Amino acid sequence: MENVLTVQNVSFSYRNKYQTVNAVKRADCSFERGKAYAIVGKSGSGKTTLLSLLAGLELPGGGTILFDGKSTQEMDRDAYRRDNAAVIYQNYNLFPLLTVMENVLYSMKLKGVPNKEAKERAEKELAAVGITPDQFKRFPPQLSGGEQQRVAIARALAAGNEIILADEPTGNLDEGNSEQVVDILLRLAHEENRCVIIITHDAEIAARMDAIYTMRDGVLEGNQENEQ
Amino acid sequence: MIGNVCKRIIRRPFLSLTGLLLACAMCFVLCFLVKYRAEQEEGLRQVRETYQILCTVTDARGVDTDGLRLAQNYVEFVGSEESGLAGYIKELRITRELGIDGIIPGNNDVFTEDDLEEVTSWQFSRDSEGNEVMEEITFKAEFVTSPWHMLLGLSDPVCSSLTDPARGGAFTSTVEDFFRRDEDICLVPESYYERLAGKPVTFSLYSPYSKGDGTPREGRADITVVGWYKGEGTAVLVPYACAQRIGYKISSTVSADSIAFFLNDNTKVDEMKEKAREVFAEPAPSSFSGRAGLVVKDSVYRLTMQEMEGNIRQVGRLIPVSLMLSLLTGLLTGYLTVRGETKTYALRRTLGVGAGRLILMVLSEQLLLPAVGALAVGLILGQLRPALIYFVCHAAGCLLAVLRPALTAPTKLLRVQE
Repeated sequence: MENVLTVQNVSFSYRNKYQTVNAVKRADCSFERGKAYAIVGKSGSGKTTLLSLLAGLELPGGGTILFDGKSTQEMDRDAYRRDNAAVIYQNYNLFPLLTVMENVLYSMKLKGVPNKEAKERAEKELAAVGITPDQFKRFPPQLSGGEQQRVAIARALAAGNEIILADEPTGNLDEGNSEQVVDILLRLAHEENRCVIIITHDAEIAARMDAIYTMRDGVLEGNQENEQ
Repeated sequence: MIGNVCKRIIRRPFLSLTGLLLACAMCFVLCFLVKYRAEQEEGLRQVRETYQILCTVTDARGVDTDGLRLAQNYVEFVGSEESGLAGYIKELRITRELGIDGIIPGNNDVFTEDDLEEVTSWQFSRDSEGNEVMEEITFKAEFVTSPWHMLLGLSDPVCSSLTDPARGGAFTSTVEDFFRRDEDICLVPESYYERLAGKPVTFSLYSPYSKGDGTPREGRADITVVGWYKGEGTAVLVPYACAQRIGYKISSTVSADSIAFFLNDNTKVDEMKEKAREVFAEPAPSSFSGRAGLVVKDSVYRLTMQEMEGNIRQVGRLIPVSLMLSLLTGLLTGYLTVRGETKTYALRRTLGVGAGRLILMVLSEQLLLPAVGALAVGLILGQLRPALIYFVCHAAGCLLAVLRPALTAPTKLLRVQE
């Protein structure tokens, strides 16, 4: 398997109201296509910051993040997120004024996918995550939390991005829905050869991933390969 | 992108409608103010160019305007380009009056000996007893008594009510520029014209103003009848130049009996007044000065101008205020909309929308309806330029409000939201 993302000696700090916080300290790790990773750690340990760095939403204060061997600092990071790295949040983050279908179409329209093809792909991916056609024209507030999260995943899938970054995607979901979402993410990694990185507090979910990184006070510790 | 913009507008009807109404109202205020100022400026220009400021020469008290017995120097001053008022004047109106004593029968057949009327008089004598008796005698006058009593020289038809078309005075059927001619020609009442047309009539004339010793000033003039005026007047109308030439032979001191004119450039009214003070007195009710006065009827003009200039100044002060309000409105509506949409904007950024494109998208959403409103108001009021200015101000306000979320890292915005 080849590395799609490589983190080399990455540090990041930011200043809050009271102090400078060293959120990530000299992190080194790598992520491969076709694998699912979990990043675990306590609240405030720097997991989300690392995810933002991987998504190109923040720039490292030191070190380098390489995507397919190219530094993300030197890339058009908007294009990187649009074409290569999709982010899924705990709070679903759908556009409330767009329907389910329009939400999924949005990321494809940004990439310039023709309308007909985009619609076909959206229908396919929505069906793949268990959203029925009668829900396509509903607005996000009319869906349950699990359904909204699945729509968010469908949006990431439809965009065709090879890196899926999920920040506690099951944090607001019940057990059944959590199970479904994790299944979908694992399928993406193993069947569609994508690189899935999720942040989670749930040890059971982490255990289902191919590898686990642990964050402690900004320090990324070890790559624990799971035996499956 | 346009499709999404329209959907977002339609799916927030209350916010969209409020924004549209606010934009229309603000744009209307600005367009109305600009239109009002333009109308006032146009009105001001028209008043300045078309208002007729009448200047009338009067006696020193400012009361009499006719029969002024104005000396030659007044006429010369009014008519002089270099050292007088001619440069400020249009439509100069001068009259000159001469009394008609009678008509002398000449070698024409207009008034012959047959027309002479017998004059009856009384003669005192004493009878054989030495008593005084009164005896009636009849004789023929040496000249006929004229049906007219005044020769009126005019520089312009409006100098005399006899020539007022509204009062039935179609003054001539022969020449339009009659009163500007320098010829011995005259107009007589309609009823005499047929009999006298084209014939010279010899008038015995006198100046109404006697010499210092009380003897009248007298003279004669042959004047050809060339036209008529309606009605049964008792005046013979001649061009002013004719009356002045004849009158000058009779009285070298009097040159005109009334003078009036309009200003050719109203903006120079003060300059003209200053110049006029060299010759004319400032009329005063208690004045006994021998100098003629000049009354300039410019009070209505000044009041009108002051009022319109005041309006323009006020509107001129309100327009920047209105522009500032437009900017603030744009800023406020932009800010209020953006505040509720921060998460959406952050989400768009995470999906790969660049800051520039996000600004463009947000501005499209926020400015589409105000643009339509401003265009509609601009078209209705015929004020597209101020509508555009309003729109630019509004857009600037929205841009200011949108810049912060567009340029802030999306993770920060999402963190704030959570």
